[in-house]
Amino acid sequence: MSLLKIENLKVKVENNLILNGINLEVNEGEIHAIMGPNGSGKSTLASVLAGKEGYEIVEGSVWYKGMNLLELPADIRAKEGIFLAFQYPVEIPGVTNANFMKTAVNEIRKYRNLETYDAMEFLNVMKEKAKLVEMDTSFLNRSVNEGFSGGEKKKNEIFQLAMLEPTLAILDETDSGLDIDALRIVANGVNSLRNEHNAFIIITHYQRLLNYIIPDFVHVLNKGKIIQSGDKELALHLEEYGYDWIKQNGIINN
Amino acid sequence: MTQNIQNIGLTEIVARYYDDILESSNSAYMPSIIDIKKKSFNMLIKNGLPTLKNEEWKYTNVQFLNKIPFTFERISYITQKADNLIRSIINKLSQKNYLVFFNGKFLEEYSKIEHENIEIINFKLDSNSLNPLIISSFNKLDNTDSFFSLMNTILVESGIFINVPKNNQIDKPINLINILSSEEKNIITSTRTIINISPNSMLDLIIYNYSDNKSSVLNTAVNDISLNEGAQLNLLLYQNEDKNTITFTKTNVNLEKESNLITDTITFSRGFTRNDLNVNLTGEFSKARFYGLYIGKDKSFIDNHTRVEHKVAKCQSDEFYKGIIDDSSHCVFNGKIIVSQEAQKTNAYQSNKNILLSENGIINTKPQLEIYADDVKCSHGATVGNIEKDAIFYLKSRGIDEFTAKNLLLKAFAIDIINKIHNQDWVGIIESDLVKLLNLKEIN
Repeated sequence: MSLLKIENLKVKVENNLILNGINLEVNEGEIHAIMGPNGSGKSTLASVLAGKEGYEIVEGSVWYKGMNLLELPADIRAKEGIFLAFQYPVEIPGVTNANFMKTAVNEIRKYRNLETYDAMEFLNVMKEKAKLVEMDTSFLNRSVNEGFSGGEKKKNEIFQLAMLEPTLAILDETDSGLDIDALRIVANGVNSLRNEHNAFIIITHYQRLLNYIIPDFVHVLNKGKIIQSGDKELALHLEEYGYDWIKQNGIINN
Repeated sequence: MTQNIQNIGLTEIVARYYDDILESSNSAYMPSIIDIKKKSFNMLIKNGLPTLKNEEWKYTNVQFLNKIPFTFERISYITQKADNLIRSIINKLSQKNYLVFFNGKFLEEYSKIEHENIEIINFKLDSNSLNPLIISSFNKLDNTDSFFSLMNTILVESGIFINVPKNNQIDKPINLINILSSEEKNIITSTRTIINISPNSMLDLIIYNYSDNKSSVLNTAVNDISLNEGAQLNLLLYQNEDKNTITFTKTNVNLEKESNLITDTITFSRGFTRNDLNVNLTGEFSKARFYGLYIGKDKSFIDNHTRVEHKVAKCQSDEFYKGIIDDSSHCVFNGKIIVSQEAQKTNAYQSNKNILLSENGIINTKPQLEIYADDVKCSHGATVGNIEKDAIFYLKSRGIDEFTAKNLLLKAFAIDIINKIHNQDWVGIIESDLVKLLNLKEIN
């Protein structure tokens, strides 16, 4: 079933056209990888889907579960099952991870007319999900991302993903700056969370992560446009040719 | 001594009171006390009520005080309301160790102290013998004295002297609870607290100010604190006063060798508050860490002036004040660091962070550094901003609505300071007062 449909999306930031006619359809159960050189618009696409302010939609539309996504505020998108794993997770001194997740999960459950968790249930769920990303439970009582290493921040994003169980998860360069162990942990987290009812959009600069998370589709973004789509082989070709080649020649012929 | 005076100006009110006490034949002050009051009065007349031209009062307009008809009347009979207030506060304390004051007057019947190794004296200036430490504390007049601390010296009649003898760790905190309440009359109250911590002793002290007034109350407080060699003081000053309360505090702390001050100044008052905190590092390896949090609501005015003077080498000062400015409130932070020529190897840090929530709010923040030594580490910084947009988006992207996200972030900004308070009873009390003051949603 179609989950997300992006049609001819054009987006400006401070008067520069960053996305120049994106078309993309994501169905339940699929993993899509979006690759592209720096400045191609990958992160802008992620931010626009998650509902960050400061972007001017010039043209096009985004349909998510039959809703006009661009009209929804960011928190409603999250409540409807959209999750963005940030490239640069924000530090929030004074708010503990536990309190943050408890607030988020309960807000989402309220929205979905589900019972909110009591403290004990919640703690057990958090401990279980923390195990998934191999985080010591002591991190739950630390302030959100404050003083976390790069790897810890990214693991915390996957922890939150596990807690919120989204329908559509967008990972914005989650692999950047990760060592091989953290990369494996992040990938295991994603693989264990994927199922036939959810979907992932994995934005990455490198092919590396795609050795661990096997995508169904790979799209190449350049100058705000998807210039080529294919299967996982495309990522390998891209690795071989490099982005310079694609910038000059456009499409890679297998 | 009871009289009502209409609009004659604050200086004149103090002058009439001064004439009254010194010329009345039944004045029972010791000659040394009369001498101190005289000196203070002369200085007060010479300085006058500060104006905006005075650098230390640049953002702090006190001229409105001239328009309030204050009376000297002492209102110290306990109303039912005051009784309820006192009991509700006492009930919140897990360790029942407190001295209660009402409109500046010590209430023995409400107070309860269980300490053997500590000397607590409710001194009266008209008694014929006073501890020499009390007299020497009153004698410390200098150029950091303002109109209001001088006024305190002139008007004050009694006070509290706490003396911790050598090698005593007083683990049970002492709470000084100051309640102000006046229903009709505009009154002036004065409190004086003198603390001496002898070598290698330790004290936890909380000074709590609460008021609920229907008329104006002008309250001056002077706290004079001496930390002798190796002494430590944890001091919390928590001010939660209503819109009719005008408070001036001056806290002087003198630190001898290897002594340690940890102090937090929390101001939630809705009236007019000016705090002067003067920290003098006079012995090597002494350390002072002073943090603060102020919340400006409605039309409140809150001014925190701090002054730390590194007089000798190898001392450390760590200052961190945070403020939230809402509605039409006006807050001032002025932090002065003086490093004298002898004070080599000084470490001095200062930071002031503000969140300005309203277009009508005003914050004046001013760091001042005077460094005369060359081998020092000093840093300072001041910021004024709104709640961080990136942080709001981060929370929203996790399904938290904008209102709740702002709530959470605002609370977190303040909790950062509150959580560093040493006393858990007061962490709880202050946190719940914060939630009420900022109309925060309780998040569990």
